[in-house]
Amino acid sequence: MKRKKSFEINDKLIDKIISAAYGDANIFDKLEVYFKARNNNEVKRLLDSYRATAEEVHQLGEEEYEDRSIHFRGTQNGIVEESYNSFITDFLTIIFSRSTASLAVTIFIIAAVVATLFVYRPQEQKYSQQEIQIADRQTRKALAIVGKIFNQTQSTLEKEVLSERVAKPIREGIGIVNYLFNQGTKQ
Amino acid sequence: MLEQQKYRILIQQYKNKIYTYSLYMLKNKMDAEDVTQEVMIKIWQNVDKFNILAAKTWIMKTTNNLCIDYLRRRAISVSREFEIDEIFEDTYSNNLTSDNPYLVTHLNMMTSRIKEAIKRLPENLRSVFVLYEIEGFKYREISKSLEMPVNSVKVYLMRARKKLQEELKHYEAQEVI
Repeated sequence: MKRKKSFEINDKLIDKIISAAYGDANIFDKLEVYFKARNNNEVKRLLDSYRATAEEVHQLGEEEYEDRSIHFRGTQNGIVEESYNSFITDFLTIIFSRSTASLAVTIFIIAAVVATLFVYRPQEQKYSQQEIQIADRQTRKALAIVGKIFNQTQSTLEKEVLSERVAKPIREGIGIVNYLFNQGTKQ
Repeated sequence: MLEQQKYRILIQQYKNKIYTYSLYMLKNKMDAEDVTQEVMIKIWQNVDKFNILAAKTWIMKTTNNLCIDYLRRRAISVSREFEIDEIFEDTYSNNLTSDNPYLVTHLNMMTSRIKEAIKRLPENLRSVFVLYEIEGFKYREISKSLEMPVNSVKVYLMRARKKLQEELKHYEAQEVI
């Protein structure tokens, strides 16, 4: 008959068994406990016993606090009743209450920003020498046209607008004023 | 406006944690509700003073301090009838959806048994155990909340687990008798 190994179960081993049963032991301790449990009935019994308790403990959830008590908001003067049915509150609660959700949202935002930078990055255009010369010529032509228009505008202003439309009425006005002065001196 | 929103988020997030912790510490629903209300008022009074992401340890520290005050102020003399009522309520009134009444009752009794065993743990072990195993706090958060070194948290947690096992054995022995 195959005989199972027997060895002393000290406090250190018991601590490892308990941690393994509750699921927070490191991988080496878990393996050690697992192999020792296979070879020793007492270790196995302890592990099973603590594991059963751990499972029961982990099934316990948080107690629900009745809603009637939280429909209150403190103010400087006292307590005011208030309803909490707010979509924004629920949304923000989900985001802030779960670290994974916060992490997911943060990663999503960073990814979106990075993707936007890569997708919309301005690309450098390469032009041939011929294209540059054509563009230069077209620019000179355009500037020449603009210069011509400026010259025409200047001559129109000087010959037609200033002399005919501005200087002439001013001269006429001054003539009328002189006439009136002369009339006044005679009388 | 921002403060109100911050307050709402904190309450939605922590109301059950505060209540659960208080319930296990004070072993009494009415006192647990009182402590929860007081913590909520303290949160409102200090809502502009702390960061929403760092509020967790502040809230649990406040809850723990209030629970200790309650325990010190008066020796809790919960009447046996009241305890029995609460156990009865927990055991038979939960709305578990199962067709098998035996299974429902058995599950409820197991839950009650473990809850009672946790409540029988010494105060310092109970606080660490509840925060770690039920509320899902990390060692560092418990250390900050209860103002004790991380190593003490680990030691207390291990002791609590051992003590709980003993309590359950004791409970089983009583059941057999």
